[in-house]
Amino acid sequence: MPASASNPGFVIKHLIAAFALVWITGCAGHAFAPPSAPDDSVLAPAEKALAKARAAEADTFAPRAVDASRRRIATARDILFDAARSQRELTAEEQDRIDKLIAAARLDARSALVQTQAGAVQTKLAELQGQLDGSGRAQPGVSP
Amino acid sequence: MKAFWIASLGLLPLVAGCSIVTTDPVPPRPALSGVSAQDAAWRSQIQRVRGDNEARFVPLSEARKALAAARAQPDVQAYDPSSLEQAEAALDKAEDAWAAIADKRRRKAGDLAEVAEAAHRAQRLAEIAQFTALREINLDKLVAANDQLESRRAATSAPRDSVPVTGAARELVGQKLIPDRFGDVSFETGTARMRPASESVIKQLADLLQNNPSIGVAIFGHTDNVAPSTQSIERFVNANPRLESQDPSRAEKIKAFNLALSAARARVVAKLLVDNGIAARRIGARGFGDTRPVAANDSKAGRQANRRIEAVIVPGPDSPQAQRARADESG
Repeated sequence: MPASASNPGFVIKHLIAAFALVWITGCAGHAFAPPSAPDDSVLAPAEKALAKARAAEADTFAPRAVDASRRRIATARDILFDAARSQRELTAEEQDRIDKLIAAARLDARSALVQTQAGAVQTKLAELQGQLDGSGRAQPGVSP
Repeated sequence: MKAFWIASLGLLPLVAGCSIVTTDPVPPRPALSGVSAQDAAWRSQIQRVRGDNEARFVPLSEARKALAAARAQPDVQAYDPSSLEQAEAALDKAEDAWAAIADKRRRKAGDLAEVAEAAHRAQRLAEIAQFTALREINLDKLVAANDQLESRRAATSAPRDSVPVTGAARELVGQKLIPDRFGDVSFETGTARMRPASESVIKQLADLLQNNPSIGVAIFGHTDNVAPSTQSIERFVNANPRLESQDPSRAEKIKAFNLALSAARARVVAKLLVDNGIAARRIGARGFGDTRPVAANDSKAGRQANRRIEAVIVPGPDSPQAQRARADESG
């Protein structure tokens, strides 16, 4: 008698074969463990400085410095993830470059913060001088 | 049978999802990585000056410009000389590094990076020096403009009728009602968060002030001399750019922290009085930090006695004494 779908033994045999295939295919992928996320705490000082500047509205008063800081942090993160993707430790050169990028990003953020503070004080001063002037409008020529 | 196999194979990728949909914490490599993009960007910043064929590096030119602007900023030497000095040193380094490779046909990425990094440092430090000075100069002007505005407002507002302090209110003037009569006001350690139990003390003071409209109150905050945690000090210094730029010693930072904490606590008490219906003009608030101890700070009891709020009754702002004092002050 030829094998057919109406034969329960035949169906069970094929089901087992199909599940075995699925199991092998599905779990074979785990033999190649995905790379683990790198420790990016090294970026924290720059991220903190940038967050502080942005909290003070640096996006408005110093957008270029904010962008520069963000770009440098992204580049440093890129180096970290590149090593993680290759599942290796950072080389001394990479570590050095990350350190320099983070130091530079912190400087960008510091500059952005100071520019923002100066801008905010200048705006407020112009407003007060406008009131003193009697016009109630901000005075544009406040900066020295 | 054929349909069964088609269905099985169709389901296969879905069931095998355990390998397919595994979340990869590392995103795929971008087409142009940040490092190569940065190197490429620096190379593109080299320009040739028409005529003499001299190479010019844009980040270096920007650093020179920023330093010139910082030097031209009035009072930069008074407000942030160290940033300016560091910027000058960084620019010298960038100039030297550039001089070594300016005439080369092919420049190594590392050499160019060295120039770019030093130039960037010079530019940012120069900006920091320039804008710190600008901020401080305008802050002084802001305070002066504010004072001018306040005195103009005071001069134009209608003079109030004199309200003399008489009777029972006169007896209250000079009394330290907190802590002597109403008890202590206490706060959570190292913060200006008042403990709920102290609110009833403030309520009693507010009731007394409401019943005696001719008097005012001066609130004084005091602390012991214990140093707060390093983290608290750092947070405090970071939040006060003027203090940060003075590069204070640890002892100075602790003093400034305690002064600010005592002032903040005094203001909290004043605000609670206002919330209880007392006019703000009848209240004064000031912090003394650890400068006026009432006991030695070497014992727990002594330190506790020093951490205190004092509320002293004074003649009200419309009393003849207060009006005389204001007239003397304005000249």
